[in-house]
Amino acid sequence: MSRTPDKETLQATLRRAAEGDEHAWSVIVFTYSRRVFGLIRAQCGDADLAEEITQSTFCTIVSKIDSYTELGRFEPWLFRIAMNRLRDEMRRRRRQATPVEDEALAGLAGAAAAPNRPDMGDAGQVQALNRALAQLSEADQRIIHLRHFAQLSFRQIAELLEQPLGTVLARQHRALRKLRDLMGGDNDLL
Amino acid sequence: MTRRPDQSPNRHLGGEAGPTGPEPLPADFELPLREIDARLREYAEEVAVPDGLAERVLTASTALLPKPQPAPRRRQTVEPARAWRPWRLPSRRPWRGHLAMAASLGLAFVVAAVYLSRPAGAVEPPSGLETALAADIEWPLEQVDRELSYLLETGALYSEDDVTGEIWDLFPELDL
Repeated sequence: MSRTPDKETLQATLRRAAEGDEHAWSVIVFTYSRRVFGLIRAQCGDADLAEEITQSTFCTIVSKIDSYTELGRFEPWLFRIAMNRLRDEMRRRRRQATPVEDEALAGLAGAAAAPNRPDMGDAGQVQALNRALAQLSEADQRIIHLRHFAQLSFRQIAELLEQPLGTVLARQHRALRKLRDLMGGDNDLL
Repeated sequence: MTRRPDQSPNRHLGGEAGPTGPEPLPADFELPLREIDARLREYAEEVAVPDGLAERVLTASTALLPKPQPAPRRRQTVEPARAWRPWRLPSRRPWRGHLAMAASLGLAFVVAAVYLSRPAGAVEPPSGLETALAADIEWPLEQVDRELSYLLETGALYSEDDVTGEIWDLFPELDL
């Protein structure tokens, strides 16, 4: 996993990328593409769509990078664009969907919390976690995804979701408690 | 009683996510919750990312990168020691400039001499037509003209009839 650069390094890299420095831009892409993909994949459960959205997000970022003025807020900006892209795509698909495709989309939504993880050793644990995650509200799932897949801090999550920091923390606490309750029977999981 | 995280005065917050993982949970999250959080972290790290994803993203987006701006050209500035120098013609042959300046001065002298040699108050001879008109003017008309000027200046005339009437009154001998 690419290390997240510190704030000053990130700003300098963004500035160089905005001036057309391809190497600086490649640093941005290699640092964040995995995280954007992970977040979108966790949200929609479709690897192909997640890659498509990831590419679209970085194309948007690069086309706006020279006008990016929110210094120090790059990550919330990046992931907000990615989430908006996914939302727009899901809306577009819903508009174009036939009834049969609606069922497929419903299945897709169920798979959203269960991305393929062939590497995970214990399939039972994975399934239990997936089942529990799927039972969380969409808002609680989003916070967990932003925290673990996008690796945003609580402050950045609050900024992205335009919610007070206390609300985000309370929601995180509640989501973890709910997961603990849902998986209470799986003693070996904890 | 467990305190909610947003009520904790000493929670660990504000830091960025770690370089290889999410920000640590605030201190007041209980151990079982931390264990679930750790499990979620492992779960997220295990998500398979397609091979070559970053390369494909890079290929798709690099073409849209802003074009590097060429280095700004140095503006030509006059060195301070030379800044006071008088303007010079941009000619490689300076004698041409001197010749042009001498010709201009000579022409100016000629025009000035012609102007000064004219007698004061001299008027240009009238053209033939103007001479003939002046000869036709009879003497009383000069007075008519003077009177009309007076009437026009005082605003006493408002129509052609007024003009005719006034002239008739003033100069009954005219056949208007």
